[in-house]
Amino acid sequence: MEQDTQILHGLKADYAERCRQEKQLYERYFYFVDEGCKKYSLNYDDSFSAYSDALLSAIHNIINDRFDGRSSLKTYLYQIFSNKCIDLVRKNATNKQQVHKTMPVADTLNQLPDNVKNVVEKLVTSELKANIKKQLENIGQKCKEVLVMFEDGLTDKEIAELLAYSNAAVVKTTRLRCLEKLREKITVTG
Amino acid sequence: MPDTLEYIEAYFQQTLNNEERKVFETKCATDEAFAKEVAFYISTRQVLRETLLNNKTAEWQADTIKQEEDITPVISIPKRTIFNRYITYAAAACLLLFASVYLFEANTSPKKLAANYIQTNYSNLSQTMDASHDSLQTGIAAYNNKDYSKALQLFEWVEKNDPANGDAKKFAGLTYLQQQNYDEAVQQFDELANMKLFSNPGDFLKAVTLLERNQPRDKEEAKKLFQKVVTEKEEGSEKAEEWLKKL
Repeated sequence: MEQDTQILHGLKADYAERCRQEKQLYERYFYFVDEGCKKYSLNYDDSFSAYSDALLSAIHNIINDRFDGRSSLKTYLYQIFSNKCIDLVRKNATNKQQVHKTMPVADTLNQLPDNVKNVVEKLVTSELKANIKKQLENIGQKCKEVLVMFEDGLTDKEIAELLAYSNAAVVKTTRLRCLEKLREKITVTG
Repeated sequence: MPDTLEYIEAYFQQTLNNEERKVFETKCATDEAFAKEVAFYISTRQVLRETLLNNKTAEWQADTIKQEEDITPVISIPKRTIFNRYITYAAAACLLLFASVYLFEANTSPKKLAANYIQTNYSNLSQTMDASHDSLQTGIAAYNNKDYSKALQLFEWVEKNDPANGDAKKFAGLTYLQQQNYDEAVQQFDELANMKLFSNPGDFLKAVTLLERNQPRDKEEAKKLFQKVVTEKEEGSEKAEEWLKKL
């Protein structure tokens, strides 16, 4: 439990410390990958993918105060990992003829009520995602970096400090401009 | 249009009140153009998460791989039969053949020549104890730990605050090179070459980067730069002279 506390504090500390604790966490429960292979009959790559995905979700929940601490870190992480494994087993079972390489549906889409989600889900195509992935490489390294950092749960203020922007408002404007730049490229090529 | 993205982001960041959320949801269900914007936003977030996860996994694995290498157990070699010995000799001969082909390739291909040069000379940057350049030294430490994104942030921070700092520009270029972001590396070395320094490796490093990038006309451009480095006795002139004979 003492190590749990240390990791939890570290994850909420500055970015460098957070990265150190992420590595600790990654190594500490890496044996889950074997569990995924044995218990859910996943191949190593799928189990590894479920583990790293679960770890990132857990980290984001912790830094956003969505982990209430009622269970141990191990139990919490295992629960998320287990759910990711079940998702993969289901997808493998329904897409036996396909090579499954996509991530589980992100939380973002699930924030919408069902009727709206159905409308938007139809528009979130693999072609659109492939195009975005391609164009992300064409909007400049800085833009990509700012967007990825924000996705990593860093606030605009934290990004401003790390990347030496004058303040959080500048980061927010930059971020939205980068998104707009990406959207324009998608419109042109799409 | 950025306002639309800001509005969409506000919804997903949960900063809208209940009434505003309902308006958003109704618009999304009834306005196809708006729904497409939302789909773009969600898809982008998903792609960014995949990118982030790839970056993180690489970072997390970096140390683990090193540790595994450190604790690799010594494997005991079983007694060999004569047949096994012949197989071993045959395998060794094949290995030698492949190694010769590889070394020949490594020595002759300009791309590999450049990559080997960077690997040999710039895998690690030397640090000093000069406390007046803290960010630069921290950047070098990050570079040596192969934490290139952090290194780049720090080098670019130094560049921004001290535009005349040639080392920061050189290191930023080398970091881009390690990330195989050749276009940015070329730009950095180009800017470095235009700086007034006592000893300037800008042209030489730009030429090496062009060789490694290996796009049409890169080799010719690199040759011209090496020629300039030799003629004007710039930093790297000896190596440039040696390479001009090989290219």
